[in-house]
Amino acid sequence: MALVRWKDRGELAPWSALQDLESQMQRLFGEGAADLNWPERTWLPTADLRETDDHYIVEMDLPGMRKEDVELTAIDNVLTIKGERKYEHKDEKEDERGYRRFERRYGRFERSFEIPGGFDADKVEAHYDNGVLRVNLPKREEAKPKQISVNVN
Amino acid sequence: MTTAVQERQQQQTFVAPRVNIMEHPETVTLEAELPGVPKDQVDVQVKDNELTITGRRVHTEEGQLRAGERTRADFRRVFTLSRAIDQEKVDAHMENGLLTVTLYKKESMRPRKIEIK
Repeated sequence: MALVRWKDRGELAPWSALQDLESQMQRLFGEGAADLNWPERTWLPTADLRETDDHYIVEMDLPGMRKEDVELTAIDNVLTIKGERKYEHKDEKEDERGYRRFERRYGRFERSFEIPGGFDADKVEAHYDNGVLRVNLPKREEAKPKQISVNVN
Repeated sequence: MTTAVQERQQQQTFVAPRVNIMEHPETVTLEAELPGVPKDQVDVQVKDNELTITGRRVHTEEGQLRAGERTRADFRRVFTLSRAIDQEKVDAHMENGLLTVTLYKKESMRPRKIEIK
């Protein structure tokens, strides 16, 4: 199934595997166990792909975002979700804010999902609720399973 | 067949949410990412110098899972509080899967400006 973690293709791409390891270790051990301080962090929101008889559902974890900062595009069989999580505390004075822990990721992300058999782009619906983006992708008529009755005499 | 021990282990599977913790002169703010957790499924407790955050995720069971990366586990994380924190006063706010907890420092632990005469 075509659901691949989006990788940054820039210069930092070789580090992305290490970043994943770092975040896994942080989740396991906490306490900044593997704070490697990469110069530029990218983030890859996790997603699920589900299938029913007449549609596909993409669900993506995007906690603490604004609806306006998420963008969906459909080209052929591919759904692309991109957006930006903006850092909200820029207005605070630097010396009045001391970070004790900084694990949340900010910045841009982009992921694409290839939907087998395609979907009807005019009927795509998206909702953002409790920090989860849910996209409903109705299947094209020809991609829906059909029941063919066979008469056996 | 699941034994009682296995059942308990299943119930106790949690993942730690990502957090940012910021210290301000009079408060400490904690932001925790709890995607898929509705407001009424969040539990914030302060007890014995510990802050415990628990969030129960609500899942879609529709159709079949074709590719899954999102965790099925609920969120939990325990933080040890400094003695400077007033355990009687805690604010919590949940919006778009982001929990913001504000802890207040004890009056005596806040920075005081001392005037030079």
